[in-house]
Amino acid sequence: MNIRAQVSSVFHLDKCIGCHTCSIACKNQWTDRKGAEYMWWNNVETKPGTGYPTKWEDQEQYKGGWEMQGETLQLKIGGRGSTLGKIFHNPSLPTMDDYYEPFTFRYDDLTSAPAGKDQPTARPVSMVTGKPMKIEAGPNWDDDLSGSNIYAANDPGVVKLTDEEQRQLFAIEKMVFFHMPRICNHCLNAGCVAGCPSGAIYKRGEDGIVLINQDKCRGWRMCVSACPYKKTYYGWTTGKSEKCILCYPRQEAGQAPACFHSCVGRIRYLGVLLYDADRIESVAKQDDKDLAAAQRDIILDPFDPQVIEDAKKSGVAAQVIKAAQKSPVYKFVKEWGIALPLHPEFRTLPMLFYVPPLLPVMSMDNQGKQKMADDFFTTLEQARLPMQYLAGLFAGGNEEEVKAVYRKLIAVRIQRRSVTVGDLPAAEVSKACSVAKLSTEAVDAVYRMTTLTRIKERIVVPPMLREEAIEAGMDPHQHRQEMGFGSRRAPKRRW
Amino acid sequence: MTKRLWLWKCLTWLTALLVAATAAVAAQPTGKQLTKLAEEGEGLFNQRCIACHTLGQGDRVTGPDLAGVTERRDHQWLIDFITNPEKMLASGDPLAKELQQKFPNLQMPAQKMEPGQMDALLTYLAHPEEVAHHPAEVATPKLTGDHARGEALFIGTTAFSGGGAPCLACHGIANAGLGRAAGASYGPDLSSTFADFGEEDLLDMLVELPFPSMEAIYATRPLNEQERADLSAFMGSVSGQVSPISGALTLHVVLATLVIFAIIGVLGWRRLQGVRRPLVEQVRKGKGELA
Repeated sequence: MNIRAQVSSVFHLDKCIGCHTCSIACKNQWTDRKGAEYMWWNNVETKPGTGYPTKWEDQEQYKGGWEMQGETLQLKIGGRGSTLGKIFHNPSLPTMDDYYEPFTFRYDDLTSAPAGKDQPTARPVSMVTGKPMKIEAGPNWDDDLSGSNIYAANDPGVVKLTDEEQRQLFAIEKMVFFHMPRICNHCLNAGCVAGCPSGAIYKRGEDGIVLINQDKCRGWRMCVSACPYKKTYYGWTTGKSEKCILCYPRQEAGQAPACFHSCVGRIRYLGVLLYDADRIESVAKQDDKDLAAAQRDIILDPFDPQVIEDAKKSGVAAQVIKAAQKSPVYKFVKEWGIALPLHPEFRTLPMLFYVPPLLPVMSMDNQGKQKMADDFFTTLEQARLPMQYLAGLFAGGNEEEVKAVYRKLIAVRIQRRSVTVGDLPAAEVSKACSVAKLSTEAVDAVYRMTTLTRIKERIVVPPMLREEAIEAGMDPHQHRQEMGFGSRRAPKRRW
Repeated sequence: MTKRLWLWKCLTWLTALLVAATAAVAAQPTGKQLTKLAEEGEGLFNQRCIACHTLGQGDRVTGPDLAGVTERRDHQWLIDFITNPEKMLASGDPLAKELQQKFPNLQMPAQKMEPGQMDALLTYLAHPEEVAHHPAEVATPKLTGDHARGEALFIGTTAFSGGGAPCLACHGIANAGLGRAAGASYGPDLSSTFADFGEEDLLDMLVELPFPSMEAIYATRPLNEQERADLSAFMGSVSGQVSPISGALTLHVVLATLVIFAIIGVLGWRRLQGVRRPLVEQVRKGKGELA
């Protein structure tokens, strides 16, 4: 047993309204500078849709993540030799157009244009060339199904559906979508870390946050290919790659990451998970359909005395174990089992989990009147979004995983309907709970966590224990006196 | 008293005359001494000047005829010009400028001379007739040069027997395709040398080494007669060619460039193809229509 702590998160998709506040909070804080205009460490996508960069889920195109080659796990971009072979011409990168050409507007023209016959306009200009441009794409170009005949139709998950299913999906007045915010998953088996030829990317030992060492990065951009979620970005002025840092400076000060803090729908939950690092490889080698379950299995119960003992032996601090016991993520993922990883079939073991959206799936048939438990479970098969599509997103194609989550979410609804409206018989409620394999107390807890909790319960930032991390490298006293501005060294290769 | 005074006057005058005459005799060598100086001067002239100048046969493209030059020009001007023509030109001397305009292609190299040597040279230029005419040297049969070997010597694939550096180390011949590409830019291009100087002077130059930088290299590592003839033959053989770069070479360069770009193109053919744009195109063409 090699127990490690991982700061991980849950995004509750039923609550996301797609307002992009998280994206803006992140942008203002981290990527509002030259060369980083196109980067969105946090972005919100509309599903079905091709996302940002376009079709990032299509690994035949971008070669991200891992694949099984016989008995061994191998990066899809190839091993060390193959990486070295194409180090100067990495062929699996998104082009600028696949992200989008960053643009702004000449706002000054609105006030400074000379008097004339026409109303002055603010022309769009490229932030790359500074010249006027025709805007053809953006980071959320397919927002709310815009251009759906191009973007939603080419969603790699939709393309896999049968023609009949696709037709139903796009039928007028039956079209449906949901929002999916994405940040770096801070994976346990991160592709970017494995793909980096310079060894610049590392996973912080104490909290599992994946970071790129800007001194070591040589800008080969193998991480951009190797990350299946396309969440590392190349900085065009620094010549280095960068990515979501899970706002570790904020967390070290006890604050929630900016996107979590600013979330209007309060969809974001953050907490520590304990996991067994020795089992990462065996989990990553499971079949596609078993991956979601296997990943859940690697997460350990922080209340188990044996786990606590082993964790302490592995060097996890007592305060961190305590934080793990309060972690809402543990509850969502493990205790209730209603949060699933995004695309576990990329085999990076992503540590950002999603509660799949129920509303768009179910809302059509039963508007205005709540149906019985039996009906609910039969309607799952006739859901507006095919189960296969959701299973492709969250469970490596295993529909049973997604259905199990939905049964629980429906049980919560039925119980709340019974409590607030009182028009359902108690037998229905208990039946729903037993079908969902969730106790009535757990159902209440899910309801509470989803709707009533305050920020300190939703976002449990663990003690980051910087003193201990510092102590490993230098005398903490000296650090306190000398490191006020961090250690700033010039990179070997200047920009 | 007056008689005595007159005597004294005469005596003084006589003495002065005698002294003056002696001095004049000492300053203006005569007879054997003059001949000796002029002979030494002739040697210097043959060694350093004859490559470009003549004495009584008229101006050449490389330099003016020097017959009577000591009368045409001031003595000091001559000394200054011979020792440092560049400086004279730079100082704006009108005569030097005039000469530069008359012989625009060549600048006379500065000659380093001992004081005695300068005297000897000027004496020879003033009295070329003083030199006793030596019996004509036995005409050695003229060697015929091999231009292929000359080229090898020029490039350096065949070494000079004396150990001197190949010509290409400093000079190019654009006519023969040995120009900038060979990196030879220290000395002037020798494409027109044969035409400018003619075979005889070219051979002389290779013996006399009138250029200081060449002298430093070849004075102790002289070329033998056959080598000189070969080089001359080579330079003669290329002097008529006009086109410095042959059409075939141009064609090869163009073809090689095309091939290189083609290879790069093939390698990068499927690389970094956009993803989004093809999707949009597909729908625009009506192929992506949905039911």
